[in-house]
Amino acid sequence: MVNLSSRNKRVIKKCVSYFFLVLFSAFFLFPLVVMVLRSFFTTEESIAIGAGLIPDTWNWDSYAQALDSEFLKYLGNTVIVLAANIIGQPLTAAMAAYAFTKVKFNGRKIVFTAAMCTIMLPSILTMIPVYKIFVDLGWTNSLLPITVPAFFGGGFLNIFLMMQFIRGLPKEMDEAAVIDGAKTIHLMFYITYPLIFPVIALVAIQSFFFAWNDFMGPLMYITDEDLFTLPVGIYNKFFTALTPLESMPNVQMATGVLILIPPMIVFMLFQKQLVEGVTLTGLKA
Amino acid sequence: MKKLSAKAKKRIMANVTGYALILPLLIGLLVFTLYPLLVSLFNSFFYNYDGFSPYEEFEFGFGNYLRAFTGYESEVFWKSIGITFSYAGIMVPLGLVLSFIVALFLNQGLKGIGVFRLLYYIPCLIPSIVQSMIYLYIFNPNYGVMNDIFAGLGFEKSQFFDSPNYNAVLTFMFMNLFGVGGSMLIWLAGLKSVPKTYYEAAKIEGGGYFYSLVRITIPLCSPYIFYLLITNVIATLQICGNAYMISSSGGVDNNLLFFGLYIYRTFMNNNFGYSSALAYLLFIVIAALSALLFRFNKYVYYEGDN
Repeated sequence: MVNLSSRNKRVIKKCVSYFFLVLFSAFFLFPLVVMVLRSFFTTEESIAIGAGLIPDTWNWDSYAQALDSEFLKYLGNTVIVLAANIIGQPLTAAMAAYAFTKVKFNGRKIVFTAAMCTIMLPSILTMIPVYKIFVDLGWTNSLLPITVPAFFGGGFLNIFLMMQFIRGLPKEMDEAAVIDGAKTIHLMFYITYPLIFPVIALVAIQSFFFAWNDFMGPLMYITDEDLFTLPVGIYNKFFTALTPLESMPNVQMATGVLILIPPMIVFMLFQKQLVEGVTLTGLKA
Repeated sequence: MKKLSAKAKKRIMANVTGYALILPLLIGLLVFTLYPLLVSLFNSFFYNYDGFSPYEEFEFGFGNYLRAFTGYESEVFWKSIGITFSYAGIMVPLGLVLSFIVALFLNQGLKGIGVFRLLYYIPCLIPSIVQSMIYLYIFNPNYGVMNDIFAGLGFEKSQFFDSPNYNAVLTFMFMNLFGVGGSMLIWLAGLKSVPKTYYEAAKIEGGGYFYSLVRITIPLCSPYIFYLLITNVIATLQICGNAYMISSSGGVDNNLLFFGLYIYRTFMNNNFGYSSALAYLLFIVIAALSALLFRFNKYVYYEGDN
């Protein structure tokens, strides 16, 4: 009898938990559901009051309108920026992480501390003179200001994350290789980097998300419409519309769905690494 | 003698290799951080410096800093400070508590929990420009879904982001609640790091759920609380891009003029001097707050410390 009641209690507790979990889901999925469903509206329906969520007829025109030549142009620019970031960030971060952990050079503590301090700096503080540097170099209105810096820095948190992993590697392998006559460059590329490859991949994936989302950088440096990346291009296309009919909410939502697809795929593919990586960054001091 | 030179050679090699490897980082630090920091500081002392004219044309001194606190600009300055700090003061604790509660629900070992975790994280995956499109649409005062829901519930129509009062910031806050999934993931890692044996021991001693929560879970998760607190405070005080996308001008009556956006707007008006001064003020505040928060570090329980 006692047994049964405690079992009942457990079942009730489970039901309550699932009830809340579903309730939370409804909340968190709300923006996505609105976006997806309303992307199938016609423009007139999408600016009607009390239009509801389910479209009367499933209208695919908004996707045809969203995927126009401008979108593809912006996508092309974004891909260039992505490539630079996905290569540049992990590369510079991995080099610096190796130097900080394995090479005993003079002044490494100072450089490390300086790099650490950068995470506290408001980005806007450095942005203004950096903007001037790019103006002086004649780089504004090119993709250079948002691609070249990816090769100079790597991001402190990325470096720190890699360092944590390199520190955890057994020293014996390095020692054995040195006896066999291996140089530092061999140790790096044949021993350390293969062993920390999951972390390098994680940094690359995070760079993908950063570059795919970055808005302020391109907004600041690029005024030539032909060079816009997706976020700025989309902003320019929709956010400056004057009338509701011009702003075409249904096409906006369709564009949103299209832009969301790549990050969703990347997240699905690398979910495990990303979730673990998020939790490791900066917590293992 | 020979031995010493071999040692010296090794030292030189280590320095050459080390600096070769950190060269990109070092160049980045010098060109994109240190030099801009100094230039910003320099610019901030030239009253209303426009970024391109010769420095001699501008008055040297604390003019830009005084401008924030006195005269007609101070009204906007204090309003922006008020918005930013009240937002951070409410949103950081609220976000932490809500994401913690959600993480507690996800940490029960129920079936299908992975799916829920994924669903809750989805809003964080949406690129910020797309988020802005969605939220501007949902919260549109004329044809947005939210006013339809309000009408259904019998509430009065709201202007949301266009409100002439604090409702604009409240809408911004509500919008950002969809994004607590990021903190939730970190909480989950914290909850997983607590050894199960502790809970069993508490149970044997007759401690209930809330006893375990307050006495075991929260203290053992303190490194995660600390990390989330620091990163969220720093990020919240710097809000710029997201506010720009919602209203590039700072909203009706500057009701959405977050401090970062204020700096950016000043910069876009070609006032490099004043915007540099504002950016330095923000930096000082963030550094002071971080230093203050780091004093709490000694109350944080790190495994292996004892």
